[in-house]
Amino acid sequence: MAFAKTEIYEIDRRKLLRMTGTMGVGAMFVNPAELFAAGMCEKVTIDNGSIEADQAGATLQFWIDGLHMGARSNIKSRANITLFMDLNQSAVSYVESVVIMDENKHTMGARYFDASMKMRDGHVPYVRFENIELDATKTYYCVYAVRSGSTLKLFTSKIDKPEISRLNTTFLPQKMRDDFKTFLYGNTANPTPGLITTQFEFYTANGLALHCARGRVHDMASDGSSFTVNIDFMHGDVAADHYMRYFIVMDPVGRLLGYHKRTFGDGMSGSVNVTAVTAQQKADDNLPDLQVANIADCPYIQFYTEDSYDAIARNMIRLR
Amino acid sequence: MKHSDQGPTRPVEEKPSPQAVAAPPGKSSEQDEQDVVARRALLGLGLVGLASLVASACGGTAFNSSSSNMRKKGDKAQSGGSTPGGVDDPWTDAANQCKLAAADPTNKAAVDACNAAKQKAIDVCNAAAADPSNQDAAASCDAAKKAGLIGDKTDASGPSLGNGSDQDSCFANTVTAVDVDQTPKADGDLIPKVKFYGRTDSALIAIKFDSAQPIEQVLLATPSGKLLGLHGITGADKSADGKFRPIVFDNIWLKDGGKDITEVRILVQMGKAVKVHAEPLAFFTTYNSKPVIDLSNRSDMTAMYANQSVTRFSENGGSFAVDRTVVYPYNAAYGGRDVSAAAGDDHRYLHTIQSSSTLTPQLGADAIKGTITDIMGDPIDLTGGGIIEHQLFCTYVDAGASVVRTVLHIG
Repeated sequence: MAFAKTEIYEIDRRKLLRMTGTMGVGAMFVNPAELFAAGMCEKVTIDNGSIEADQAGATLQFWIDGLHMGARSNIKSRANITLFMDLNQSAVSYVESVVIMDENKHTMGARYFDASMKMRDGHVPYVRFENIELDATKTYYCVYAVRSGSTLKLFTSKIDKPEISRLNTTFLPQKMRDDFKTFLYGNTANPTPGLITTQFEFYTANGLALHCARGRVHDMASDGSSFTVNIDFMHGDVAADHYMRYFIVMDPVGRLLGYHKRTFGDGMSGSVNVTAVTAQQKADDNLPDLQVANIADCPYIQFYTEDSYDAIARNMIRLR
Repeated sequence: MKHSDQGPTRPVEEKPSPQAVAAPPGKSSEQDEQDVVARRALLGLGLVGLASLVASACGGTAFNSSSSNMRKKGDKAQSGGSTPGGVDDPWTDAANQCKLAAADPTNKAAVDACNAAKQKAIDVCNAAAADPSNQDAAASCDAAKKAGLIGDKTDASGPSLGNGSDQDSCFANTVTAVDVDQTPKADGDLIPKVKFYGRTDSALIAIKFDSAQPIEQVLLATPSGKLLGLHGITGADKSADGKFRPIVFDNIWLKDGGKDITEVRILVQMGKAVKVHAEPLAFFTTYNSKPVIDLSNRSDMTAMYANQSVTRFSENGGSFAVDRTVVYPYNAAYGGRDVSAAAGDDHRYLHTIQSSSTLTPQLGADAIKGTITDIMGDPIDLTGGGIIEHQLFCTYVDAGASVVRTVLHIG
């Protein structure tokens, strides 16, 4: 999962209306930074003692996948990007729009909501932009517009030099991080850069068909309170330092839905059933609520399997 | 973006005047109007989309061309008459570039020059705001504002809605004219093929145009005109043969005010022209005349599980780019293994797909099952380089009285 810190601006909606009256054909997005510089809105300062950087909306979580290989491929970027912001929808305050634009402020995609459009826990739904061309050398901006009465708060995040998202350690439970520190890949600065096998890119010469994540949904409650995702072993256990260890199910931006860690020689083979994160797991692994998602809110899930030696493989299952 | 060092929140220095926020004549619901306008504006639409809708609804009447001008057409600052320094003033030159860019968005030189100037104006004004004693910055900021490069808070009254000018009356009309029913209907090859997956509180809508027309944006709206989504066309939207790939709107709430809608309006924007297509909402629930079981309806999970496809391919050696230079980092600091010592080869051999890469779909148990189609429901061949074109595809397995669909997504 990738994070981007947000900057927050506040503006009177009516003021914005007047400005938009001058927009014309070929006009571009009004960057909140521009509004601020012009004195037309105010900026909400984060970390000034009254608003904490980790409060709702302080960070945008996003995941980029698809055909987006940068200089490593001659295939033009066809990326997908999914966004999640810790903002809640209510009758008095709700995200009414999300826009992604390039550095020239051309709109690449937008989504619009009303207060009734929300996840089960009240969060604004995942925003997914499919099949967009991103330049791995450039900068993109996301703006969440939160309406509260006559006021708009604009949560602005910058995605700089977008690349395929990876399973890195920064958002994983500490116990998982510790395990991955000894994983074959990695270095001191970034113990697990998250080298992921997909059909488009893989880190093994041992055969893609035997090093890809293969899973299927067995059952799922309509409210997401329970589910079972059956994930195959990529291959049989080889040795104590090369066996199928982790089986992980995540939401579209890398929040945990469920995971199972095996121990070598536990007698299991073939596949593992991964179920929803339990209260015990949350307590044992010190998982904050915000990092545990509900599968019923997910238009698709991503799942991983890892062999503790030379492969972490990822795949997706669409739920819609 | 250099605002992180701006310090404490600045107070709002000016409130809009009553006149400035007055509702347009004949409008009884200012709030509704504002909803629509703000929505279309802020959201990206404001941009090309709104402007185009406006222009279309107003018989081609165009608004000012630069969002950063934030002034009405005809304002003296834009005419250049009040700009200090005349045409030699760098801000004026930049403003002229912005006008050129607005008149012709394909004029890359003008667009780049305009954007660079706007950013510079932002930086200068930020510097002025951060240090009130910096008179040079203040003067330059003021000049930038007067040139129309950046909004001028002293001109905050800006254009009011419905003050009687052609532009404003047009804009006022636009507020209601965004009414999709007044937009010309799509015809010919602008009538898309549409498939709906999922449910009304989280739908996937796939839209396919068999058209070579220069579509710039595709918008999704409710029958009442409330926008649901916007897709800006990029280079990713066309395949090598120049045809449009399916446009996918994912996780869309097909609702209006909390109630399910029965159709969507698809607005197709090409330059100043906008056309609208009304598509009845009909979820893709039958295939080969049999009801479809999928993970969205979960109507028979036993059948679903037994017939679910699993993404599995094998690579065809030699068709991928292989990085033979990057080596495994030896993470001894964390007790990691030294691959070079263990295997005598510490290279990663990172394989990355190329346009010429080919893969072989693995079929059957623990792999791909049944009939393979694209997201529009048309059969496709995934052998060779098939999956490069079809990152999102479906499989259908006959399960007797029903058909099991798996929607697969690679990446």
